[in-house]
Amino acid sequence: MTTTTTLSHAKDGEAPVFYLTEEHDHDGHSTVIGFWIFLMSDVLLFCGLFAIYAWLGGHYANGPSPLDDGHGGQLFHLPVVAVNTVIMLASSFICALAMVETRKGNVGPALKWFGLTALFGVAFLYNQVTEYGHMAEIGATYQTSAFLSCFITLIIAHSFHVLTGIVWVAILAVQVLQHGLNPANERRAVCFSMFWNFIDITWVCVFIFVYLMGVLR
Amino acid sequence: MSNDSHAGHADAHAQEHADVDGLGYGSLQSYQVGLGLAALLSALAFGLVAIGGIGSIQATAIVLLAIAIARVVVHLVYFLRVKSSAEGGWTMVTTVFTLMVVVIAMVGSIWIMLHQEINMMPAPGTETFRGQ
Repeated sequence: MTTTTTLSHAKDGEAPVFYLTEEHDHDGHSTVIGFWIFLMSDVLLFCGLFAIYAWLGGHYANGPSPLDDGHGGQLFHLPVVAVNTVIMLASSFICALAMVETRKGNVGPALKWFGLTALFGVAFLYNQVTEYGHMAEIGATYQTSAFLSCFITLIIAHSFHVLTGIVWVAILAVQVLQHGLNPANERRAVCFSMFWNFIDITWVCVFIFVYLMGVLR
Repeated sequence: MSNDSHAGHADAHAQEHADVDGLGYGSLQSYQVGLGLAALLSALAFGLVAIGGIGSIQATAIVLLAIAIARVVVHLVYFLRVKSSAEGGWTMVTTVFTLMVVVIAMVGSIWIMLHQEINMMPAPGTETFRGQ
């Protein structure tokens, strides 16, 4: 057998290897910090949306404002916002309980808490959809005023993150059911918990800067 | 000798694990403290608005801003466990850098747009940034 290689250490009959023949699983050491940096870039996205809202949040264009929806009521319903705040905080804590079980390797309890996290997320989205459905009914859409444009963009950006989190935890649950809490799934669970906490932090900024300060104006 | 190197490896592994623990992982106790503080701060914010605020709108807004910052810090410390030692300090570095960019972008935008609003001739019947 002859080889065309010019490498001095390649022996006859052995094909020279220029690459790793078998990819080894990456150890996941950099995943968490990488995901954290992604979250920081997400912070900058929301920073832009909040900055726009800080500027345009008072431009009602004679349309609905937080305290007056033009139909004798308020546009912002603080009780609904308070309920959503409780839901978000509770789901953060439940997600934390799921992480405690994940760390112990208890598949059943971990899945139970993750499922409850998703359920709270669905409840939150239900409230949001009902609230904005009501706004659309009275003609307060994103085309009505600069205030509503940036307000609804901000809310949809947040709700989309909640939806992404629910889809993520559903996929995670399927993977945990198939493969158990192996290191890869544990890593995904850690990233999910970081993502879900980030959603809660964003909601804190939304309810304080948009809703509570909006009612003060 | 091989025993020593093994122990050293185990130490390094434990250290690595402790670093991973820095993010996303916390003890049940820290989560309970976080839940309590976060609930308290949220109730305080809603209560403040429910009683109609304190004194002027500006004073109430400043208190709300302080509550928001405290609530975010509680979340970062007790739920996300951000600390200077996690991931060899990179978590802290990226977080501080991001917060710096956020402050520059927010303060800069609000400052510039407020001045632009003041220099604009208000359209009749519309409300401007300051609600005039």
